[in-house]
Amino acid sequence: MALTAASSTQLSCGRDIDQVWDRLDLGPVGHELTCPYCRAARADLQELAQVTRQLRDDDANNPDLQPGPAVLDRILDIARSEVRRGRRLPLDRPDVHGTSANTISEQAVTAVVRRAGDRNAQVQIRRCAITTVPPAPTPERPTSEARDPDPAAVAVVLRVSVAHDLAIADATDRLREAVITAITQEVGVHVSGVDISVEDIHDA
Amino acid sequence: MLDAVASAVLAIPGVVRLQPTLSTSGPGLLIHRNPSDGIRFLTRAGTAEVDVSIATTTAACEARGVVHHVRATVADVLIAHGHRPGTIAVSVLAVEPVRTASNLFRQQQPPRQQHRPADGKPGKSGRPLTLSRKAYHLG
Repeated sequence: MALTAASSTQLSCGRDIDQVWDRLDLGPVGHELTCPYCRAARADLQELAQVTRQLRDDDANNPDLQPGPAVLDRILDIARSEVRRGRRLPLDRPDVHGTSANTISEQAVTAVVRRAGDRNAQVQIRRCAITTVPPAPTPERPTSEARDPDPAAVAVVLRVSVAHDLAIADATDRLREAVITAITQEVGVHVSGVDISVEDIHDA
Repeated sequence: MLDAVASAVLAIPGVVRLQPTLSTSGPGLLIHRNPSDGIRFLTRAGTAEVDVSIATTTAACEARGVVHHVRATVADVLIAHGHRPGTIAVSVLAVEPVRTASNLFRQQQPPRQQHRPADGKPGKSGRPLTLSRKAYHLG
């Protein structure tokens, strides 16, 4: 296949070889029907795909390459840890498509909240749920105004137990303040609210 | 290339380690660890797309600030190696506390009896302490 000197992936006709690769399993259409460079690249890539398939099938059927119990255990360990991490929460205000390239795991934010709660020995956080808060609409900015994205916002819902000799309202106020401070300082997102339900009382 | 990105990311204040995942490490993770586990690098249509998974500490700044630093650093490394930066996605999978004396002291204490039921079931060792059946919503 003929590649240009300007880019290692650009064909002489100007198309990128990745474009040919993306459509390899489909039949050639339009430009690819007549372009000699694209046709040559397609033929070469089909040969590569065929050889790759052959190697993959050989490996799959080779008894020496079958995973042992230790490898399977490791796969399950990693899968479990990924499940425990929970959802990925946006760190920046989501874009117009509702996505953010920068995220933090729900487990990491929950750990920050629990550490904040653990600093007060007389309040025990039992359940902690983090939800993302949809961004409020903001006025249009001029496109020339480049600035960092705004932080995302989260809401926290806690179910706690408090020591029997505590004033519940004071204890929850302090806990709310501690959670907001911890998330702001350690994660860097806004906290739109911390709802606390006292569901139990325990001995101090 | 991956090693250069890994070294640059690990040198950023606040980054504790790269955090391997199945999607950012691939099957190699199951056999042996590589220094670049936690980074996925893909070139598509002339641009480089990078996913980075990290653990951070709060010693330097908040996780969001560290993430922005990581994105800028990865973009610089890509450009230095002749790539055009595309999407650079950074995920924080763990935020570790600062190692202060009080934190270490707290970690060395025996765990408090939490009476934290799992999925609503009573704990094995916890005596029944439910004094209030009703939850008072104060939020």
